[in-house]
Amino acid sequence: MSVRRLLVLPHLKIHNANALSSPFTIGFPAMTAWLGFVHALQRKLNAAGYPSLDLVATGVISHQCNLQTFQGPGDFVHSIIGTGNPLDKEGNRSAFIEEARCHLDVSLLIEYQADEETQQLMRQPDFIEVISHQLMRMKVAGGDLQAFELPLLQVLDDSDEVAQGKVMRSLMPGFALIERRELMQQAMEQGADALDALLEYLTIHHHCTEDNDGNVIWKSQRKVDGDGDKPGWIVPIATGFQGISELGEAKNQRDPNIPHRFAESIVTLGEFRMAHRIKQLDEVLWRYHTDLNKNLYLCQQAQTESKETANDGFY
Amino acid sequence: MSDPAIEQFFHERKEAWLKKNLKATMSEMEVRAKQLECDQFFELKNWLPDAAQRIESRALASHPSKFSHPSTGVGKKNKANGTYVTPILFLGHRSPDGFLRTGNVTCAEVDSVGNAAELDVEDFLRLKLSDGITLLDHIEQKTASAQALLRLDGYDFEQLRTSFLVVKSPPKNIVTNSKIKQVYFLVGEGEYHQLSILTHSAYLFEQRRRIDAIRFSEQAKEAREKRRNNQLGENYQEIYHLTTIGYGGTKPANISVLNNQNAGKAHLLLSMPPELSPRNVQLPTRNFFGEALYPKQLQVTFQAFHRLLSTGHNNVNIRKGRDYRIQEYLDQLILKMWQVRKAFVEQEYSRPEGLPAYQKIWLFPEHEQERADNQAWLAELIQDATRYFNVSYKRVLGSTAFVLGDTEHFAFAEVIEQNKEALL
Repeated sequence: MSVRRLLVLPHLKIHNANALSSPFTIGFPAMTAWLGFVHALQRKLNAAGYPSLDLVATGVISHQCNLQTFQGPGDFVHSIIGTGNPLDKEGNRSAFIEEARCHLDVSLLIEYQADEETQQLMRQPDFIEVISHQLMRMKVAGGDLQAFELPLLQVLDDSDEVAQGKVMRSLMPGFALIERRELMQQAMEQGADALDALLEYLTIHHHCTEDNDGNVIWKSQRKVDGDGDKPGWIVPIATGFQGISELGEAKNQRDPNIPHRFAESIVTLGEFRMAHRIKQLDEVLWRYHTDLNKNLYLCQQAQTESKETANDGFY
Repeated sequence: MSDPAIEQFFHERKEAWLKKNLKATMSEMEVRAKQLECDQFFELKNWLPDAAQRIESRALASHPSKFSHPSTGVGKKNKANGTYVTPILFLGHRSPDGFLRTGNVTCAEVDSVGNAAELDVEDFLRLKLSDGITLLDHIEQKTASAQALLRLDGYDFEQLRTSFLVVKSPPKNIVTNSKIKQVYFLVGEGEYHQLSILTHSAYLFEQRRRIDAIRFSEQAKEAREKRRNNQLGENYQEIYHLTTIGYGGTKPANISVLNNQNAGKAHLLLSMPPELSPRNVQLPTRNFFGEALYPKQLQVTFQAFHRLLSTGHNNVNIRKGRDYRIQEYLDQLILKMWQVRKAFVEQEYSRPEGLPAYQKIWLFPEHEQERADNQAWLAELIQDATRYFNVSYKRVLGSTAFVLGDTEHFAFAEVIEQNKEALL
């Protein structure tokens, strides 16, 4: 039994967030953007008189995600609606790499830890004011925070599924982002390379069979796993970085006192699951994790055991 | 004698050079003079040392910085105006860790960046000799062919070799730029690393190649045609919701070699949650069941449900599977419920009067308080949801449908009980 302390930031309305979460994907901002925002908030709160406050894990629940792309009549693919700001000195559009944007309505579920003294301070009514004040000056995933509902503090017990369910239902309607890296791992263990493993889950598979009477039957479905389970609403998500050069010093780095290296985005599979289906908070909470031996900088979830059985009856 | 690939290379260059420099008005003498000049220019002992110098402004790179910002690069101009970024050549290692990252994709291409005027030297180094190994690898491994090629009078073999290998040599000074996103990443209590984020361009275009194969390959076309006519055909895949991104505008060559080969276009995969307020929600006027929620949406669910019943067994796996399908039905119901509620919020003035009273309480935003205070309506909703499950199942399966017994009804009641609060 352990106690969980939660800070809920409900319905952050974000304008023009970065939708190019990796070079391979477009849409919902990268997990690194959300954890980065929460960490920035922690630093601001630490400085604002809550020194021992530690925001340890974050869940992201999407209520609305409005991607700024365009599909012309008859087009199969979408194109990005670019803005080309700022204009150059002659007033022409400057050369730019296309930047994809999206407008979001997102709730964040943040697990925190703090010592007794800081907790005492947080229980004071002005804490909510302080945090709102900080939020108003922050960027989220590169976008502007235009509005939000009042933050809430909650304490609940880990063994109390009813209370956890209640927290999640309060965020309905919404979809929680869950890591499904194990789907890709399984495919890769069977020999697929990463790109094939990814595409397997993002395509519609058309299967053709012939029954005993010679009738041809075409079936179309998303990829199912080995047990015939349908894995849910699966999307590619950017969850971290891989270092691609030695750690060291570089000319022109932002901060000369911090080790620098070049890195690339890492993409894996995730799932958007409706909030009312979440039974344990651990299913939605993400944390920082670095594996410097493998040069990996990750946001990841504790792999929970709550895998659902979805028997398709194919046996 | 040098390799046919090299012969061919010089033959093409010479022809191109002559085409450029010969004019129809030239006299025979002049033409001959030009031809001599050409032969001399492309003679190994002249061309190679020059090429070895020129290759300096190109670099093989797996992660060209120009994909992060087109103003950065490795050229002389970049060095002069402070936008030079170290070219990174990183190969990674393979591991089944579930990540799309360098090392985990089978892709032999390596991109390159730099001054386009020296591309010919790079083409030269990328020549595949008759043994299938590139000239660059030959030079690196000091093979006999490389030695034969690079041992020129008056030049030091080692020096020439080193000059050529500059194209892939690990950089001594690491330089990044403010034009590239530099991200702080937390690695421990108050400790950070700074990451300059680059793009693996070969993977980007490998992704495009594989997506295009799914979309346009002959096999896929054939299978698609077979499916349209309901004939026996091969399995195939289809991919939707792609977005195209362009690098380099009208000058894709300014970004990188691979970018140029792909006309600057790459495909992005969509990563979006399900839509909660689609533009065309069917708003119920008489009954939520049948209008907002209808059997067609649940075809797969009911077919699987049916298969489970027809196994005739009753073990824990079958029961779990059955409950999962019931849950799937409820999930769809809950999703539709929210879509309808949201649509009613946006549409303030018109309310369908024909809806049953309990559905009005359930779906209209103005009854939100009432919904929580008095839950008599919920019992009615649960009854109708159960009934509609039955109806939809029969509609999907037609005459093959089983008559649902007490076991199934009991199971349904249990699953819906767990979801009661989500219906509020």
